[in-house]
Amino acid sequence: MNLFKNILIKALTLTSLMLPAQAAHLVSTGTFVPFVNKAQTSDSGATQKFELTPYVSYGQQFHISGPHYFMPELGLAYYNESAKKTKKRILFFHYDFSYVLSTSFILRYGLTTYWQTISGDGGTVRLRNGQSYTNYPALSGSQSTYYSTLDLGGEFFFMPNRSARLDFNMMNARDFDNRAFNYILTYNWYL
Amino acid sequence: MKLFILLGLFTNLLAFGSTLNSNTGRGFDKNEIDIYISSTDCSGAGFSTATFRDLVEDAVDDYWNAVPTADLKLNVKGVSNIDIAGKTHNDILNDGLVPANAILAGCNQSFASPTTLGGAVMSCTGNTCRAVLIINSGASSQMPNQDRDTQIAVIAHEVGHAIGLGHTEISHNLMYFNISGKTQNWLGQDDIDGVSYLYPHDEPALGCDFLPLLGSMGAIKDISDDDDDMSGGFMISILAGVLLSLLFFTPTKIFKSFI
Repeated sequence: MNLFKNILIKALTLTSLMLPAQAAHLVSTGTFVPFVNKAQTSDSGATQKFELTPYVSYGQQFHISGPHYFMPELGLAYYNESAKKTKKRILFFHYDFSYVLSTSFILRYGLTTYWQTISGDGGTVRLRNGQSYTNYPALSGSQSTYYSTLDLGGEFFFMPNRSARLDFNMMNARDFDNRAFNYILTYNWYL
Repeated sequence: MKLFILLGLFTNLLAFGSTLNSNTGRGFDKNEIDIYISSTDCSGAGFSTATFRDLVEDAVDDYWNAVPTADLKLNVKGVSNIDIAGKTHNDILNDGLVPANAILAGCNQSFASPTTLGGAVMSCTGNTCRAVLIINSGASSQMPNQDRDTQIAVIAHEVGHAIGLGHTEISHNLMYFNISGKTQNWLGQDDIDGVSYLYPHDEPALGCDFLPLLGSMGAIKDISDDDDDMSGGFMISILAGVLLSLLFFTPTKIFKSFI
């Protein structure tokens, strides 16, 4: 946890120190849903549609021209510890643009880089193996993986500074067979 | 604020049962692994050896090669002249029948329990790993009674062991110990996390040439003992965002048209 706090503080500090203070700020909270229709969620073969994985983010908003805005954002999705002490954290670096379609709706598009860390405390887990049980090594240490997605989403404003957002992130954009989607559903406050 | 608190209470209880292969506790050192097919007759398992090769190919393509967060590429080779008839997993490994850093897949009747569908054993020495995957083709094998999708899932499960994964405790995952009574068409989140842990993505989903500035080239490294280090790729990612913001865009208040 210290590692993650350390990294998050560094990233936020670096970003906030260097960006102009008068930029519009955006705070969001919601859920991150990975592998939509690509991850099995039940014995009957049902696949992922929705789950509650806490997601929080902080972003800023910059006007480009006319209805076009640039909205970089730093997000975090976290999975609580399980009994096996395996943890997963995902940091999102969103580089999204937005296009104001109407007074209450904006289109969002861009790129996101994911930094996913899976870690565990080691030890063994005793699990069924055929008719008997076997001690399997649990995950030990931390392993990070980075990947990027193409983003497309929309944001609906029900108040001038409050909105709801749905963003789809496409993984493996160039590989049709193995293409997969995540989505992020958030409630947003513009400060 | 209430929403923050509410979200903080939620836990994702559907994942995090990933474990590692009980023999090795690790995966292969390389991310591209060849799978050789034994020439031993598979007819007792309900299919020919050539069909077995096709099933293995479907198993890796439908499951393990399809994980966007992992950088694993399993290549299924043609049927080789390696005969594993009458040999146990350990015999095959000890006899040197498996090429270095590769997996050998085949059928035989060496199972102590006649109803076992299959098994896989992995062995590593230094940087070199080998694994052997055997499907039960004995007279009492239950493989012929399975539909094609289940046969593929059984083979994919054994491939999971062969690449370094252990079982999971949640039944809808492929790496659960028992496939009977369920429909398995996809990996579960534990399977995805496990293979992503063993074979982390060292290349962006869109290609390095596509996103050179977004940190997508970040190196994969074990950061368990390195609390203060950030990868160069992600420092670039942060700096790129900051520079873009500073150089090219004008700070603004909330969408002007909304106010």
